[in-house]
Amino acid sequence: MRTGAAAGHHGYYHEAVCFGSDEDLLAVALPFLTGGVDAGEPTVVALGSRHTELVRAALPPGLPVTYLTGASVYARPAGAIRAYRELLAGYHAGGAAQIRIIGAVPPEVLGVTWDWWARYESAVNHAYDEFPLWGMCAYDTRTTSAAVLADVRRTHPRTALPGGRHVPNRDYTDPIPYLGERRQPVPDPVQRTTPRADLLAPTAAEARRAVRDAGRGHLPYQEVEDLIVAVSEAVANAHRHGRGPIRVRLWCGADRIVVAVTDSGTGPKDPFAGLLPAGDGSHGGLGLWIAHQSCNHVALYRDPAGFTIRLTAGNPHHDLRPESAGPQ
Amino acid sequence: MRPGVTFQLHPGPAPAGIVLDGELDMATEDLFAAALRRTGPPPAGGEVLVDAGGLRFIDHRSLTILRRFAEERGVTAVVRTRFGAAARIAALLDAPSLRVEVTP
Repeated sequence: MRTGAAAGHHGYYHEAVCFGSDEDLLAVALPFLTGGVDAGEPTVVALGSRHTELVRAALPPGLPVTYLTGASVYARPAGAIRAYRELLAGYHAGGAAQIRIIGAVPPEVLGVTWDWWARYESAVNHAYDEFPLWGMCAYDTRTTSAAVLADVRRTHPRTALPGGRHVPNRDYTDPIPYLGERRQPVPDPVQRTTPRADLLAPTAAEARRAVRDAGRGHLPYQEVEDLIVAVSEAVANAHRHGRGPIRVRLWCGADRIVVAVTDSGTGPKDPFAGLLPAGDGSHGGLGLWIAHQSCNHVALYRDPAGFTIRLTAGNPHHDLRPESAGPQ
Repeated sequence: MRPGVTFQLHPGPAPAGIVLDGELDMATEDLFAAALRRTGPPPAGGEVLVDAGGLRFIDHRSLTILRRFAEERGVTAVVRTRFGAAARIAALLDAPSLRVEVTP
């Protein structure tokens, strides 16, 4: 039987924790974690090093809490969903009546790459709902922008507060309409420059060649290979499901390569496209998911030109390294 | 290689082995599946060694074709390639009948 605030709830009980001080975080996290341990539930912390140490030091020694290193868990949204689903399936198969996890995405993803993590936060309401999970997602209001916090309220059905309070978020939006918005990402400054390649109606092979030529000696070989995979999948998807003409543009920044694949269609109907695999690959549905596992940022958006998949290899956090924004 | 065809597949020197070179993507799916069928029946329950030393690219759908080829014959396809992304895609496909070994 499930315990605590999620008692009687079916599926994923997904909460935000928006804290303004270490004391506020501990006031929510400590009873959550000790309550899980007391109930014999798998209890997991994935908060990043500073807040993990804060929580660990405040908990009674020897408490059977599992600590995951946040940076590896939250490298890419599609990978995080895959890893968490494996973890949850293992606990569930082991007979857990409830699993408790408190996690936080790394601070650097709260900037220009937040859009795909906002999609993650929305999609997991569906992706983890087959498990008896009580999950808390922690956001430090001192370092999180108002726009990100607005997305947090739209993607988490509830907020956990000190004093054992759990309040519904009035702005919560179901994943299907939320993900269907396909908002435009923050433009990468390199997109204001002349593309290094601008291909009209290319084959997947021609698009791969453009990436190979641009990437050679520019980024580590593995990152170039993975971008080649992602671009090839995006172009193949545009040929199979999109509407012509297909256009592929590629820009090189000092520490990254950005590729935009545009067709004049409206993009995938599946709101979870890219974040969750659809099927086993026999009938399609894996290409965008593989692209999301192969790049350091992927944006899917609609604008007057049609539907675009923008893929970034290298460092996508141009807001954190403005000196590297210029073209090479 | 014929004009417009971006890959080559032929029997290798090793028993139950094939050699695969070039690039495989949406344009070559049907040809690749047909070429695999022509390689004849491999030994049941064993491994098919795919010497892909000259492979420059393979997408997940072509790896899925190879996986199905192996599954239908009850064997494991072992792909040896320098294209490391193939191993990462194969790991995502989570298919026991497909193993990609990256060679230096």
